[in-house]
Amino acid sequence: MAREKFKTLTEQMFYILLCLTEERRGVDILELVRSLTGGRVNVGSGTLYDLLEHFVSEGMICQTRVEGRRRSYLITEKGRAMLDREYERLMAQASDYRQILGKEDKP
Amino acid sequence: MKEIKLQLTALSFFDQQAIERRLTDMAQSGWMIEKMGNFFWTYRRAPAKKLHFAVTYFPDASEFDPGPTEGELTKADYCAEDGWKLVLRWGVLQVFCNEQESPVPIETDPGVRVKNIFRAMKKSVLLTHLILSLYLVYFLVFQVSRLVDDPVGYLSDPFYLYSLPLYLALLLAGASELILCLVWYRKARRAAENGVFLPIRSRPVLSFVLIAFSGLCLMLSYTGKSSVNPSILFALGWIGVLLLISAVGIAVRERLKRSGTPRRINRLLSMSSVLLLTLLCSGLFLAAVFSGSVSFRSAKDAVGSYNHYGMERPYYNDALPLEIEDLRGADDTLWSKEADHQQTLLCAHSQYKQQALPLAGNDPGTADDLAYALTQVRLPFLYEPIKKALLNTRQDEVFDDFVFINHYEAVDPSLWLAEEVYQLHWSNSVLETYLVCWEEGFAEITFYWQPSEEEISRAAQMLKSSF
Repeated sequence: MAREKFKTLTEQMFYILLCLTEERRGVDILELVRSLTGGRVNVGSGTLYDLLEHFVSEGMICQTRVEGRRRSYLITEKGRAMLDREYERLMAQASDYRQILGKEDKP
Repeated sequence: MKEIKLQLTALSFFDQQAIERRLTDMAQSGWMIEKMGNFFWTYRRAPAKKLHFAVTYFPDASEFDPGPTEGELTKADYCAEDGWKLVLRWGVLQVFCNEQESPVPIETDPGVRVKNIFRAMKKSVLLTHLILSLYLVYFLVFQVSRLVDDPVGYLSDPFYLYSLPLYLALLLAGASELILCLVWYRKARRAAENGVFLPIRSRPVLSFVLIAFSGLCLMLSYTGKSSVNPSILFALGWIGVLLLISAVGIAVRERLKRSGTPRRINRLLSMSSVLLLTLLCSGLFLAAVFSGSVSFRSAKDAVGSYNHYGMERPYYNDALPLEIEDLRGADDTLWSKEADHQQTLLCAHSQYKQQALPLAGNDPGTADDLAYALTQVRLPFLYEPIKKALLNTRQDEVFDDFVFINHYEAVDPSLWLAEEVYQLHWSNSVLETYLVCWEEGFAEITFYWQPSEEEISRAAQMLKSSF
């Protein structure tokens, strides 16, 4: 798996986990990520399936409801911790950016 | 108008881009993919349209599934949200198509994609190549040991000599596929870390070159022998039997798939049918060999046969470069004159035998036979190794304190007009068996009588000029 088994998350992983902070059907995530990012991030349907399967096997999300092939998922504590860690990493990056370039760019 | 088109295809199973391009081109020219196979892909006529194709892998799928698994259907549902329709599945490979102008790709995360492909590789290709490569290594070791044991027989026999490059080519193809897959995986993982997908490339030219090379080796292995080598017929026959067994196995698998048999039961029954048929055919073959219906003896044109102690034996009247009559003049003896030739680009080897027939009025007890073999080396650097090998065919054997004498010793070569001549020492006697080394080639000759100097000189002239 990319990023050495979730040491960090790819953008797509990040948004999938973010979407699952509320219980959602897998299929709804595709559209939600697009609308959430204004179309900047597209999660491929095959990639979504593979990542959901992988997150489940790693205990980062769990299945909450199964209606035929329609399955709903919700983030677990482990997944939430990973998401928070990624958020903090991104914030630290943003903070470093602001510290170096933020002041110079402001008029 | 033709509704179905079969196309010979040599694309790598994992070259997604090349497969997608091929399917797009075919759809644009009015042919929609219907079925994929190892060699031929089947297309059905359809309205020509611009379609986007996507090839993905589902490592948990199996050739033995009666239909798409729950997981595959769930993935297909997700794909359908973006307009992707599942067109076909072939083992772990899935093909989707999309009519939208610019659809969102099915796979957007290079890391996930690489991992999926590698899992599919491990399941479908790597294990097979590994087993095949190990088998070929074992076979090559066997071939090399045969070459070491009998260099003359090996280098002059087209069946063996040309099967060596054939198996080497197959090993190279299998091993290179294995190595390339592993190298690709290592590079692709690194590229995925940087958000880039590193695709796998097909090498159709290499595949065709290897197929053509293998075909050439097979053809060459047929040539260069004076008699039909039953080993070749056996090898070809056995390949045919194995292909037939594979076809039966596939037919059983497909029949069970159509009847909705679960994966495990299908796998068990299909593999059992292949195993049983293999055992059955092997048993039938062994039974045929033991009953004498199949023989590994060379099939040659005999001029007749005679009964010897209740057994029918053939006799021959082949042309010999040196006959007993040339040395001792003609008499009333009836002879079987037998010649066997085999040659390759490296070496030619001929064996000759003149034997008195054990018929009424013919006294084999007093008749003196003649047997000899001529070996011609086609490449100078092989001369010394072949000479050494010929000398080494005779070696003393040690049993506890007893030494059984069986070796050549150098004698005066002048009578033979040769560079070197060796005579056989066997048990406690010196036999009239000579190994003669001329620049043109070698002769191993056994006189079943004490030849005079004149006879030896005559034999030397005739054999030397026969090269």
